[in-house]
Amino acid sequence: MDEDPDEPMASTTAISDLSPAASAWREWLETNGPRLLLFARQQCRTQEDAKDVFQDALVKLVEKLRNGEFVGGQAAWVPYLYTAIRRLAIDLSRRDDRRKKREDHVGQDIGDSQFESFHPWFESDSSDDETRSQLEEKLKELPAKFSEVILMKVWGERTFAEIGETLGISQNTAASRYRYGLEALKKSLGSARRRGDLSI
Amino acid sequence: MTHDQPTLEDELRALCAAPLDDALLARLEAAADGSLTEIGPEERRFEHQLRAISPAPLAAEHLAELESLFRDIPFSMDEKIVLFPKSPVAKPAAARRRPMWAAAAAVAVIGAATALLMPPASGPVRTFASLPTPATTPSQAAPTIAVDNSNLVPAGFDRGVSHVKDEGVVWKNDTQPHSLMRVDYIDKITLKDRNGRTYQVERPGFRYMLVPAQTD
Repeated sequence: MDEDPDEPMASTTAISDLSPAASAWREWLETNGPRLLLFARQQCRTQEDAKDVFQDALVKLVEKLRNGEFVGGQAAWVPYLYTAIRRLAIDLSRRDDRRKKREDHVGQDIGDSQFESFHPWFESDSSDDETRSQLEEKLKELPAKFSEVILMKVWGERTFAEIGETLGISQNTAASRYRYGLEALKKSLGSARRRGDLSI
Repeated sequence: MTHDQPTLEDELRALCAAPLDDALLARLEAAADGSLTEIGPEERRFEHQLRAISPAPLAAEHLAELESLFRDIPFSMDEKIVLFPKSPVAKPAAARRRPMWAAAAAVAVIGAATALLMPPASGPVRTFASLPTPATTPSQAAPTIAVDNSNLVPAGFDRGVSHVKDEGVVWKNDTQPHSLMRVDYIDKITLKDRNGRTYQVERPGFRYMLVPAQTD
């Protein structure tokens, strides 16, 4: 064993024990990870797929940074990841479609939906659980082209220009989809709001 | 068929395209004047309400997996500041116990030993003759005499570092910072002729050396 007995065990992950770079990466992941994973979940069928896609997108970013091929500074990482997540999710979806044609997954979908209910999209200790679950449900019911814009704009805090670039549409189209989506979401949440069940 | 064609064309021509509805007209106008991407107050209010509900945080296990991807990747704060990860071989504590001038002096001594094997330089050389007894200290008062260098063989060498000055940090191509050290020294070379007589040569000199600088 090469371990130095005088050296403390490096098992703790407290941020103060990390190098400046490692601390910065953790902070960055804690800030941007939830919103990127939320987008990945909207793009993918299951939580596990979303985690895989998110991780693959990060690996692509890491490889580019390591090889010095990434164009742009830190501000360009998140837009790049949104684009990478979307492309990877589309690729995964195509592969899944082909696989589903070959295999019978009658019981699998039921299992997936039960699994999903244990992994809510939004923070579970938010003040209002009913609002959280209703919002998740209604976002899932929206056409994907609306919900993806809403997720990127509201929680990703992207501009319409950035959203348009990620989705391959103009910023005006992104803005229109956002408006339609927001209006549709408001209507679908309307009855619960009128009953006073929702805090929004 | 040919007879009916003008009538059909007239009938079709009489039909008008449906007018644009007000919402589409407003949208087209907004797109044209660039205001389509501006959010109205009601939309902004709803947006803020939605944003108040935070996305679920990453699970600790998942976060740890993702962190491992970035283990050896520097974190770019901006164009000028980059945080580097800790290097696994960065344990220089033992090497740093000696002062920097000691490293520079050690290199200087090695250089002087090499100089012994080189032909005599044309620089300022002072040669002193002394008695046949070994001279370990220079005798400044000894008379200067002419000496036939071909009969002399090295009998001893000593280098005394008289002054070391840190001239600042320089960066080389490999991005490793180095301290530029000026080392002033006096070489004292003892030579012996075939009669056993010793001579001592003093030669002052200086060298610039690059010593790897400590960085965090």
